[in-house]
Amino acid sequence: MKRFIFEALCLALCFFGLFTLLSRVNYLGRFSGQKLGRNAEEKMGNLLYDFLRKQEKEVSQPAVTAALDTLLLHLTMAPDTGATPIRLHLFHSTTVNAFALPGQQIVVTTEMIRFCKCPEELAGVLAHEQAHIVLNHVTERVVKEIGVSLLSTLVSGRSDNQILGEIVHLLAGTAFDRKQERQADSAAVQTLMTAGVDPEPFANLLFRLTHETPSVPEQFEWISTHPETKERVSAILGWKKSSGNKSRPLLTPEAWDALKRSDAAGASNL
Amino acid sequence: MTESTLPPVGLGENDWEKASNSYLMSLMFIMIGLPLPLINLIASFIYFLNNRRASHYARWHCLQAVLSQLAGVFMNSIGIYWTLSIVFGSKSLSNPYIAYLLTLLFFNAIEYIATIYAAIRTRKGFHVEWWVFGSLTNLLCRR
Repeated sequence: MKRFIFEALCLALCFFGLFTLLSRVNYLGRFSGQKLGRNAEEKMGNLLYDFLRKQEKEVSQPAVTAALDTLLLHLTMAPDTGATPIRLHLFHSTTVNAFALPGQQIVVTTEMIRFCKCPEELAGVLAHEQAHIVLNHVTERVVKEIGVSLLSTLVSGRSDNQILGEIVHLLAGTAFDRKQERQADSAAVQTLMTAGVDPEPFANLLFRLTHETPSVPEQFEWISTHPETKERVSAILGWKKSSGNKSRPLLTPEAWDALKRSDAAGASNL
Repeated sequence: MTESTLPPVGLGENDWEKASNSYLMSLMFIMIGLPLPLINLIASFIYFLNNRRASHYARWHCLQAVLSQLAGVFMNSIGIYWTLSIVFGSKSLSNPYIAYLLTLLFFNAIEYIATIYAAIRTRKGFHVEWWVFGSLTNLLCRR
């Protein structure tokens, strides 16, 4: 009996030892190691942006874009946040949405701006999308879902509206996996804190997106369906209290008014 | 795995064949049963029941074949459950999953090789005792 127990324990040890050892290898990282080149990523980003411009009306009033750029500047200039130069696009839409595109671009809809009650809420959204870009979630996801070979064909000149539509739908209409959303969420709070922006409005926005939007795009479903949303909102608020973060105004009231009027501006362009 | 240096005395060709067939049975049904590793266990168990009145040598090897299948079924079932959860459920492909599949592959390969070896040696009348399963069979199989 003793011999059997000893041998069984040794076998179990071998099994779990090998499993633990093999678990330390990042297999998925190796698979996603297939990357588009920097130029290809830029080119794909431009193709997607052009495609979006054909589908939706872009808002390009100087007062509006200047206010948005000021907001983004606060975030990108914050130290230790990747300091990635990001292009921000505002599109007229009746859907509350914001998403990142390859080529370091963020798209925000006018309805999202209308939904935000203060510049800090919008800054939270931008910081979240910026985090997806800095953490390379966007390109990783497109490569994983569409495939390197198809993307290479696309950026080599044979642009295909169907594939572009699929990619836009993927990025604008579906969520990242929860782990990536959590990472982006955490990084966004970190960015806001570093930039001297109060993260509480961001927490409020998450809460309101859960309760106030009648039809939340799937991209934001991680907020509305995630059972830990309340805990995470509480965590953000608790973090703010513990650090005693002092926020500073992001935009002048006039600049914020100009942004809030972007919806009407976009509509008048139609 | 341990092996007696000389074939057990007092046994005939028929006993050796029965013992060897118990391993061949599991091998054959692994091919049929994949990816669900249950059929080979059932086949080995039925073969063991059929030979429960055979000589101790034949019974002992039939039981060792069943017990080794049992452990394999348990480990492989977890792998299948995990795979189905990824394909149809909410789980996503992860590094631990790939690591588990590789571990399974390794242990299944060892078991496969050991089964072939045991089938060949028992056919020649040698007594092959596997690590863990041999000890357990000694505990369960009485003369």
